[in-house]
Amino acid sequence: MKTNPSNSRRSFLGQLGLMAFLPSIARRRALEPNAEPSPWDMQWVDRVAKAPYKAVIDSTTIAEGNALNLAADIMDRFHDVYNGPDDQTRVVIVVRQMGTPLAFQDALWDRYAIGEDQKINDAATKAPARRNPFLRGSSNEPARGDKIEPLVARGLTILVCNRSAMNWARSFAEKTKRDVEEVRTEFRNGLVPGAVLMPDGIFALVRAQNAVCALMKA
Amino acid sequence: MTEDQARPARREFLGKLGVLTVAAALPADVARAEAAHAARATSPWDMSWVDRVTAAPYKVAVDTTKIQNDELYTALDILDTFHEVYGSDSGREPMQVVVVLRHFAAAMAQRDAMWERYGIGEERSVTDPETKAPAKRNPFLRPSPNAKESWERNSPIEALVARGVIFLVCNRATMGLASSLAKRVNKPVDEVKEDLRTNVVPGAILMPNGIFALVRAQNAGCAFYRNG
Repeated sequence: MKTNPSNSRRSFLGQLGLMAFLPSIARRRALEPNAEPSPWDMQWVDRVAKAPYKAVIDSTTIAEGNALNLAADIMDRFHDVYNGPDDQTRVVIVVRQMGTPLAFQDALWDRYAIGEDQKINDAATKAPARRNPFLRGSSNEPARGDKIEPLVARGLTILVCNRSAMNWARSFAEKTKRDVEEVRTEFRNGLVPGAVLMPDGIFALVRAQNAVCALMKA
Repeated sequence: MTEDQARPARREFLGKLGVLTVAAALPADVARAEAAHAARATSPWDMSWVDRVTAAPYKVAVDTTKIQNDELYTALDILDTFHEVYGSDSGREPMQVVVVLRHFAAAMAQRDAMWERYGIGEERSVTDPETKAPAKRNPFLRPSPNAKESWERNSPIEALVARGVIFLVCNRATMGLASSLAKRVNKPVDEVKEDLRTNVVPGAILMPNGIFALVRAQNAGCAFYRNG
C-alpha cells in the first residue's frame, strides 16, 4: 500500500536504523485481568492534577533546548500573573524520538559522545559536548533558569519515552560493540533527576492531557 | 474540497421547529439553551459516541489527514499501552480512542464496494498490497492474508472497531471525494454522494466535518494527538 512519507515514528526509527524494532510492537501484551500491578511510576499524575495551571510540552527534537525555554517561560508568566508559588503551575516535558537525549545524564553524553553524534556543542568549550549541556549552566556562563536542574527544583517533570531511550541505547551499543541489554540498563539508570520513564512518549502525552494539561509543541 | 450540498441546514431545521420564533419571546440565555436542547434532540448527526467517550477514564482523539496506515498503528499502540499500564475493567478497555478521518483519510472509511465501484484506489493512488495494483477494495479495513506480525493483524479498522475504537469521518471530505468520483465515472454527483454517505464502514460515524469532530472530542475530555 502506498503511504505518504511523514515525520512519523517510523521515519524516526528509520533514521536510527531501527525498523527491526517495530515487530516488538507486536509483542504488546494483552494483559489478563489478574495481571501484576503496573511497573510504571505514575505518581507524577497526582502532582500535576493538584495544580490549577498545567501544561505538557511535546519535545521530539533537542532543538537547542527550546522545550526548557518554553517551560521556564510558562512557569514565569503564570507566576507573574497569579503571583503564586511554583507548585501552582506544573509543567511536564515529554522527551521522545530525537529529543530523548535531553534526559540523559552527563556520564552517558561523555561515554557515547552524544554531542559529537548530534552535533551539539558545549557553550563552555565550544567543542562537541561531553556533558549534557541542558542540565546546568557552565562556570563561564551567567546563571540561567532554563536548564533542567533549576526547572526540576521548581517542579518540572520530565517524562521519557522508554521505547526511544531503548532505541538510543541499542544504537550506541551497536556503535561501541557492547552488549545491548547492558547498555539499555545503563540508559535506564542514567536519567537526569526529575525524569520518569514512561512506556512510550505518546502514552505520556495522552496521559498528561487526560490530567488536564494543555498541549504545547516545543 | 467542495462544500457538501447535502449537508443538513441547521437554521432551516430550527426554523421548521419554530424555535427561532420562540427564542424571540424568551430571555436570551434561556432561549439559547432551549434552542440548543431542541437541536440536540433532533440533530441529524449521530452524537451518541460522545457519551461513550465521556464515560471512559482515558481518552484521545487521533487526527488523521493522510491516507495511510500510520495513525491506525498509533491507535493500536495507545490502546495497548494504556491496557498495559491500567489493565482492563471486566474486559473493557480503559482507553477510548477516537480516530478522526478527514481530508484524504476520509476515503479509508468507505466500504469495499465503493472502492471497487468508483475506483477510489486509482483516484487516491492507493496500491493494494496483495495485487500491487490500484486498490479495488478498502485495504485499510482488514489485514492482508500475508500479515505476519500481530500489529499488522490488529491495526486494521475492523479489528480496532472490535476493540471499541470510534472512527469519526469528515462528511465534507467524503462529499468532496464523491464529487471527484462522480466526474471520474460520469455519474450524477448526488447519486455518488448518497452512495458514499450510506456506505461508511461499520463503526464509523459521519460528522459535519473533521474539525467539528476533533473539537467536540476534545470538549469531551479527549487528549489530542497528531503524528509528526
